Amino acid sequence: MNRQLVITLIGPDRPGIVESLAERVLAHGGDWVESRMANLGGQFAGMLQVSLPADRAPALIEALQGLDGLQLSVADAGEAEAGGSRYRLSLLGQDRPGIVHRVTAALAAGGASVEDMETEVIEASMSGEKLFKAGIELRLADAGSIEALRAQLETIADELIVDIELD
Amino acid sequence: MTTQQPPSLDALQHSDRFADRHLGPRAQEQREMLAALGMDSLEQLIDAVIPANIRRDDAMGIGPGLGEQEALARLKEIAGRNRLLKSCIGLGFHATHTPPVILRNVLENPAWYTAYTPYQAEISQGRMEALFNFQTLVSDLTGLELANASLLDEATACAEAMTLCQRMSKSKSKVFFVDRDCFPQNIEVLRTRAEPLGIEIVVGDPLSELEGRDCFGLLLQYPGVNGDIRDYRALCGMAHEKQALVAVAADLLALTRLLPPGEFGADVAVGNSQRFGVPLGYGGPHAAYMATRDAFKRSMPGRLIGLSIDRHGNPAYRLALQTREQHIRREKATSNICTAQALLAVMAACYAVYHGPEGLKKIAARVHRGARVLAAALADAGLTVETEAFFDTFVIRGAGRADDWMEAALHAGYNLRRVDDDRVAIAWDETLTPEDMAALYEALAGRDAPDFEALNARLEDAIPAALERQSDFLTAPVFNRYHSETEMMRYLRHLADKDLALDRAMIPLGSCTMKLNAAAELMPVSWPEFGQLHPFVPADQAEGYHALIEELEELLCKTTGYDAVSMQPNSGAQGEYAGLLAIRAWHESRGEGHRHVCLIPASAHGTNPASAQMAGMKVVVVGTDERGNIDLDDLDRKLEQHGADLAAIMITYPSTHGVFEESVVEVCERVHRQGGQVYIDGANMNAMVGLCAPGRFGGDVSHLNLHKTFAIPHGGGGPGVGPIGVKAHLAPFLPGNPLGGDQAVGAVAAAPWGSAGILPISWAYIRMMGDAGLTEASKLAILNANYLARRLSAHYPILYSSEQGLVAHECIIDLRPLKDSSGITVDDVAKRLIDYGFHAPTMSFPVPGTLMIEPTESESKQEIDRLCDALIAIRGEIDRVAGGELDAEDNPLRQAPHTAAEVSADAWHHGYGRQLAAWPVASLQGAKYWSPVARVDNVHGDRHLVCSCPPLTEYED
Repeated sequence: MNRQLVITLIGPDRPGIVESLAERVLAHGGDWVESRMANLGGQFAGMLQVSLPADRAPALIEALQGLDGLQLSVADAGEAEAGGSRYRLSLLGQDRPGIVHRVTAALAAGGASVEDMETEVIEASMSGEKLFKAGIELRLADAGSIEALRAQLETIADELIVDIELD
Repeated sequence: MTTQQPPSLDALQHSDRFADRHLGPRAQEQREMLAALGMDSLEQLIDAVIPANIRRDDAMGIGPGLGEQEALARLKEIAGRNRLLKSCIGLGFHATHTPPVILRNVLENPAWYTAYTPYQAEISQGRMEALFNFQTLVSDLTGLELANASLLDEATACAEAMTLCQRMSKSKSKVFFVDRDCFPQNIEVLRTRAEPLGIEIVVGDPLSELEGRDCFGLLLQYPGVNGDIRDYRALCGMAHEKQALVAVAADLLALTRLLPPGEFGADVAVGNSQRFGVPLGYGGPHAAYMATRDAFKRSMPGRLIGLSIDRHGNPAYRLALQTREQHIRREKATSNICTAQALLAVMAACYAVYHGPEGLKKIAARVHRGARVLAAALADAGLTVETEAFFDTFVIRGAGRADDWMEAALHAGYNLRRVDDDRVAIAWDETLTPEDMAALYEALAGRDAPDFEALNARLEDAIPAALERQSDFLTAPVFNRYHSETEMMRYLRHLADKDLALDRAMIPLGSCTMKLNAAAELMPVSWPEFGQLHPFVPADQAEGYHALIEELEELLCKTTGYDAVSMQPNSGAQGEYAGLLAIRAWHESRGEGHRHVCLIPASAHGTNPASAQMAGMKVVVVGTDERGNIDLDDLDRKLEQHGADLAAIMITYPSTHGVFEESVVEVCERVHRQGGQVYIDGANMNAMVGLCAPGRFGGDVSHLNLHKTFAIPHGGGGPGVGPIGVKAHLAPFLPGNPLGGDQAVGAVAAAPWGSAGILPISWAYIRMMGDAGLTEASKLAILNANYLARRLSAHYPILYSSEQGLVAHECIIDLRPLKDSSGITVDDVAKRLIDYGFHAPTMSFPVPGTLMIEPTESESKQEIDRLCDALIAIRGEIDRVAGGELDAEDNPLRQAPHTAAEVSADAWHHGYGRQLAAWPVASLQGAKYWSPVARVDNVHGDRHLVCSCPPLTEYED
């Protein structure tokens, strides 16, 4: 039986990190399912989902821990498959502290789980102001609660003066 | 004795060529710039830049340029063909006295009219203070919390109010109910704007017809078209019970006397501020306003000035709620308002500052008592005066008498408004006197005037007591301080001195074309023959305007290769909208009304998708390749996918990246083969005049920004003028008359020729430049940009240049690599340029993290070198930050701009010296511009949104 492992890695960036990761995953019979990797402020930060036979998981984890200078954490996602309906939330507003916290708190209270979130700070054209932009994929177990969530987000949008759209 | 042949008398007569005054680079400078580019001649450069397949090889047919005096004499002759009668027509347009101190120090002052939209807050504090005063004026008079800094005209403001109501109302209805008492041009533009959005306009009497009807909003006119003041308090309650919102088009002067909309339950107020000292100009430009409740702030269209603080915690103005702007929202936009009418809003605000609340009350009293006394006298003479409660307009009624009255008034020198066969409306204004009263009385009553003073003494006001305004207005100090001309003159100078406009330094804004606005071009705008004409006078009183407009239309056709032009759109974005409506109506006329897809390249200006959205089209984005050009493969995919539904493609040429795309002819052909139309955005026309013409290489329609290419000044954010040119097949679908009629496409603006009052500027520019001068201007715009790009290329990467390293009329410098190595952002460079005395180039458009620079043909090599020196010195500073010599935070870039107060203070808290902070290059000695505030805190401004002056009580401790 296959297991789903979710692995995060963080450490000083250098050439060849991803290559050595991929090499070890392959060597242990793992299937590279999905990943996000980025250089943030000079640090390599990666998230990786690997599918592999249950019995080979410990060896892979051991092999990855041997990667130079990288901190590693591993979670076993088992076989769970989420239900419910998916929505996409787009947010754009002036960058300021606390936006992510307010929005994600509202999502949690509204019964929505964040499946995927990407954020960036961009410079607005003409005015050059810093704009915070977020795209969130979310899953709502109870599709009937979407209108309540929408109303809640609308309130936040007014308070924070950001544009929030939920499709 | 010399044997040399003297120049001919004719040549001597024309030795002072206007083009030589408009164009910056002298012959020697041109040679030096060409040498720097390794070019032998200007012609060689142009051949290398412009694709041969679009190059025009014939002259435009505009003829030789006129000298300044010659052009002014021609314009004087044209102006003389306008007949100046007194107009009591009303409909939101009234004669007004522009206080001379405002005429001379604002309208005729380049410090105000050559400024750009205040995106760079630190160098725009003066005009933002004036616009902030405008917002306060509007907010106070309407009784609503939040006012914006102007919309284009009252009719389009009504349309903006309609869509705001739809966005904010909880009602699901598609009906917008319009009071039949609204001005006809407001109703006409509402119809145009509603139709593509699927909104149904129902016109009727709301007091009797609203009950039992569903709608998301309603529009009232206050006072109504015939002057009536009606009580809408109960109506607003009824509307709110239906979840409908109430918008009111209100007269600002009347609101000094009347219960304001915000106090009787309205949610939105709009209107024209023209009668606050802004010349009529045959319809525009004037600033319209919008005010609404604080709760609707994120839905407010247009620009809003907010009060924030700077780095030192001092108060500083800035453009608030920028995320609403359509260039960010793009195809989700609900309004394409961009440039509005800043200069005219400044004038209206200054009128209120100069007169103050007491002065405005006196003017309102003069207007009201004039109308009141004349109405009573006419009633005493046996005429039926229909209007009982009114401010400045009343209607007289008599079976079949309307034409006789119109004729008699005309004979006496007055234009009235014919309502129908039996009725005539008379609107009073501040310029009319007791002599006018007597003359009109005699014309209409057919007998000698009575003793008006005696009549006046015994008459009460015609304003119902319940609708009398009780609340104070304009209590802020600024409206109570500058009532002598000395004080006002100094206040205006004080504001102007804070700002950086073209009268101080070049404004290198890419895609904005900040060229010279020559004094001779501007002078006719102040002439009464152009300035004082009401937009709805009989045609035979406006023959001068018609001649001017017809000639200008013809000149623009010759310039662009189109067959017909409409002057109505009063901004570039309005032009886009009108052009797309023409395309839509053309498809419908051919039974292909289902075509609704509009292709727009990813790099387009944000107004493009916003306009398409408003025209009822679905936006489909076409990708661009790594060189910024339209990706032909992606175009083919999109054409295949949407071919049958394709309405149009909107492209900008040269592209927003400043590239003459070779493939443009191919793009146009492929779109045409699929039955689509080609819209070419004329924002970059300044690179093309005389060299190539969009109407010839594949365009079906274009808008032209007269405020870019054709010398109309930017006014600190408007006026803009956006006429559209079309090929012959689209000519029947140009915008119609705002007063209605049988027309394929409705009106898009309140006045038939939009901002007619400033068209003499473009006429003068084209006529004085002539065929050769205009062509030379395009060439020098390209030379200046290429020279600048070449000088900077050793210090910054230049994006989107050709293989030979050439650009069109603007260039993009990339700061992203520097940000990675030093942390210095585009914003830091822009603010640091202020310390060097410059307005920043266009920031992060069309590519984030870059600066786009357009020098225009008007700048000399000397000035371009000054800018290059500044940018090169800044590059050196960035390197010192990257190398660790300057601190990552405490460096002159991050801390820019530096104010005089900071630099001259006893204590200095930075790790770098004062000399580097304020005097980084020697050329600043003796010519230093000091930013009045340090860097403005944007986040603070939006968190603590303040958009109008607090009342006097807030200033008291």
